[in-house]
Amino acid sequence: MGNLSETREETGPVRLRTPRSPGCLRVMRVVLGGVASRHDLPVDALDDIDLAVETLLAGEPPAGGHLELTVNVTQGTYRLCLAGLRSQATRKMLAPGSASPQLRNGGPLDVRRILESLVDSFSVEERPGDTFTVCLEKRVPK
Amino acid sequence: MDPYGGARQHLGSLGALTEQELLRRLKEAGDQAAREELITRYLPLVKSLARRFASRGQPVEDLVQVGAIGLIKAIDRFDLSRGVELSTYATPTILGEIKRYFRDKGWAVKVPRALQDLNVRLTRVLEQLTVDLRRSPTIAEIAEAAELTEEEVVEALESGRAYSSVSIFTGGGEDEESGGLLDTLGAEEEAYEIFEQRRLLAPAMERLEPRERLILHLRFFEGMTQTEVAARVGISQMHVSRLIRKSIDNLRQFMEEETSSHQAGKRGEG
Repeated sequence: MGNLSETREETGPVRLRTPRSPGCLRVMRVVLGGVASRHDLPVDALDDIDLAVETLLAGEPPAGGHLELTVNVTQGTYRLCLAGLRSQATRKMLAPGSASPQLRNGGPLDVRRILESLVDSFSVEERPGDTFTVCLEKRVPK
Repeated sequence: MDPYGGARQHLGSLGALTEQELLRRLKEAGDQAAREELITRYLPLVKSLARRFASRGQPVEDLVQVGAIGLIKAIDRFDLSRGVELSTYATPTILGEIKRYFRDKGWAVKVPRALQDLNVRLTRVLEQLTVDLRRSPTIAEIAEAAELTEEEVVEALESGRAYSSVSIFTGGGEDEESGGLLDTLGAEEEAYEIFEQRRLLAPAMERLEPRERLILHLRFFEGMTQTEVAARVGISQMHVSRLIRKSIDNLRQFMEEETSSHQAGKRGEG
């Protein structure tokens, strides 16, 4: 990793493609931390993003295929996409309209509730085959 | 005269019984000898599961002991009416107990001593900066205060994720953050009771410590930031972070155990 403090300007997205394995989360955290450092994201906000990624990966099979993390910070918003996800349970919980707002108020602490609490918005993008991508956005506090 | 002769004879006679018969004796008549026999029969399963974790730096004998606790819990909680094999129910419970042991043991993966020390140091710097700035600091601010590079801070924070805090409620005199906790909890009692009444996460939540439930409630249902939760509960943001992870892990573990038990039950009915 270069000296991050010298590159504190808007840059293009950072991409990490890694074989799916229990160790890939550690590499992702370093990437997320590096980008957060470059854009002055407070550490509690970084921790929220880390936890959101951990939550998405927790339901994933431990091996097979690749995962791709893309991180970008533009106009004061930290945006990351995690592609190659395969957990059908996660996909179902994040599907639009999977629970009404009333139910959500008293609903369980599931993946949806955790993401809703940790980031400002999220979206699910279907991909060809059996994978999907989840994109998260969190505003960088001023 | 052998005072234990009768008990030994009883245990010997249990050896011929099936698992279902033993479970029935335990559940319907509270036969502790049947319980002992079940534990003995299932110890090879515990040993086999414990050996899976042999490379994680903990003595296998210790893991067998911990796994045995999981086995005993499984036997005691087992519901005969579900119509499943005890092994199906016990396996996730034993694994869960072993995983929990690793989590509670502290550094779950091997982290160099220097990084562990650095993480402890950063925790103090982060706490001080949070007080001074009245907000969560950035990595650059931590690096400057700790006289480190930002890369070193990122690496140390990452390694800190490998750490799980030992339960504050089980002693741990070294824990400087435990002071005043009970008072804080008392003040939160009302909100907490409402939370409980709503049964948002029962019964899984019952497995958590009261403070862990409170932290999850404040973070995920009241929408507080980690820093706000830390101030409210009276511990550091990094500690809140660890407790949130530990609690979610515990909930997930519980759900997995319940799901496998439920699925096994369905198969048993089919």
